Amino acid sequence: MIDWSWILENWLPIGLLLADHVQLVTLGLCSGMLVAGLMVLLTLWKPVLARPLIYLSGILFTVPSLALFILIMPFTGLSKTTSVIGLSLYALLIILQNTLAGLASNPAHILEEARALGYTRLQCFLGVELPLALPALLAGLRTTSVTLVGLVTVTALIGQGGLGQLFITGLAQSFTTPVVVSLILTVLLAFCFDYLFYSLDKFLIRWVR
Amino acid sequence: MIRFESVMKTHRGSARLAVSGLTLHIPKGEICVFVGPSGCGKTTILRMINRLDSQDSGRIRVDGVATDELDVVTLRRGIGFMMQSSALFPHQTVAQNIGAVPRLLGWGRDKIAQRVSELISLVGLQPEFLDRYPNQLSGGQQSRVALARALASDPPVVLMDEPFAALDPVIRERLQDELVALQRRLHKTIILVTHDMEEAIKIGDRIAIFEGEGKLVQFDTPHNILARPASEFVRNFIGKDPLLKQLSLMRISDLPVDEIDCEFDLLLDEKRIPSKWLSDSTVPAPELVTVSSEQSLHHALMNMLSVQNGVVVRVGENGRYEGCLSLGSLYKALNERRPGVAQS
Repeated sequence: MIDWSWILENWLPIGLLLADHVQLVTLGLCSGMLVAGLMVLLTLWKPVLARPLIYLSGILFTVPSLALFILIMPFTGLSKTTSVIGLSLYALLIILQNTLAGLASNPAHILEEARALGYTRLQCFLGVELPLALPALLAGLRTTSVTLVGLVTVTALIGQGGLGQLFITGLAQSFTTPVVVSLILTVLLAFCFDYLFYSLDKFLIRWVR
Repeated sequence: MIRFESVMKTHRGSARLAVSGLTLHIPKGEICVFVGPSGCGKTTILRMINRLDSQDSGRIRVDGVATDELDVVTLRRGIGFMMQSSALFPHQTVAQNIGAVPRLLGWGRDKIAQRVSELISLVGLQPEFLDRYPNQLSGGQQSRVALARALASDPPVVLMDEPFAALDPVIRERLQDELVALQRRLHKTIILVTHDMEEAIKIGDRIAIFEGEGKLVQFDTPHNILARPASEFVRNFIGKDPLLKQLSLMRISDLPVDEIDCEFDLLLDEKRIPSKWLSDSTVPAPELVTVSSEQSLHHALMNMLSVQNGVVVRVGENGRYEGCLSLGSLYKALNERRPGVAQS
């Protein structure tokens, strides 16, 4: 069922596809994080925006991924840009929701205490609110990275997709080996990202038991 | 030190006054306790001092300066604050929590570290607690850390909003005692809010009793409030047994040492520490019960009731004999405090 010689012959292209996959996930994650960060700052400046943003990102998240990529395609074509924009949008939605929810669930009496001790708005955000919301923030990044690993394979349909291309190859040639290889590597990659953020959480957050 | 000048406040969206024209002067270096039923506005009044709440009209002056003329952050950094359930920052160690205000004030690292280690022993905790996180501490320990944090920049004024309400009774009483002992050394102006009259009597140099709508009904020393309640409301609020409460206010050392005729002789050792009552062969000697002169008359009374002859032996700090106490000594003490009899 599995053609081992094919794997041995094609280890280099497979490796390159894996690297491409990691690159797409990382790019999507980073730009999503950046935009989410800017939006969180926006809600600090105008707190009324927080609730509409949470709702909006919730609604956008229900748009099917394939539809989203097809919607972006007229503007940026079958390029890596299309893929990264779509991935970033998904990343943005998950990260934003988790961060805003984390910030909103910070205990009010602790923020009040910070105010009473003489923290300025910015000092309170950087010194108290953000660290307290860090577990939620990291949980968001963890979910996002795992979601993106899966989502990248979908972008194979617009000519990108890292390991997703192996699916297409396998499907077109009715050849199972590339499909199985792609599946196993994707799952392993998702596991690695998950473990990365899990360790980051353990390393950074020592105060919750 | 702190002056309220016809301060008024209505909560937003409420027709009722929260504070109706409060004028009050809190003297420097005393513990002033705000007490009253819940919803009487005492917490709002406290929170107006560091502008966590704002007044609609009137002035509040801290050390002569009107609070609304100062920058709000400067004002707050200059006033210690401790709230109910000790709102420590859970993501910071004990040391970081205590050093919060000095950090905001831009103190150097060494100066902060030195101050933090001073404070941790001041509030009776071991230095090894400094690296722990708040969720690794008991409720009582958390309260101690919160107190240290409130005192960190050595502010002249400290505000405490029901600081001990969430603690179990034994720990609460111990912390109350320690706060009083600490205050004897620090001489801060402390304003403490509580709904517990016992607590107010125990720690207050002065008590402000509020009725609804932030109306001040009596502002006086605990003794005077117990002896001369200003209204039926205050009488009810004080509750039962005002005499017992007065006894818990007075220390044994407040009484003159007087000799009491006792049917037994007391044996002292060479350091003048009482060792036992001597029996005169026919009647067995009662159990020897000593009370330290630092303790309250209430404590002395409870001990008198527990021995057969109703006499307890009073000892000084080092355990040495000072005298004896009986019920008669307590009657005398209370009579001297009673209004109208005091002058006779």
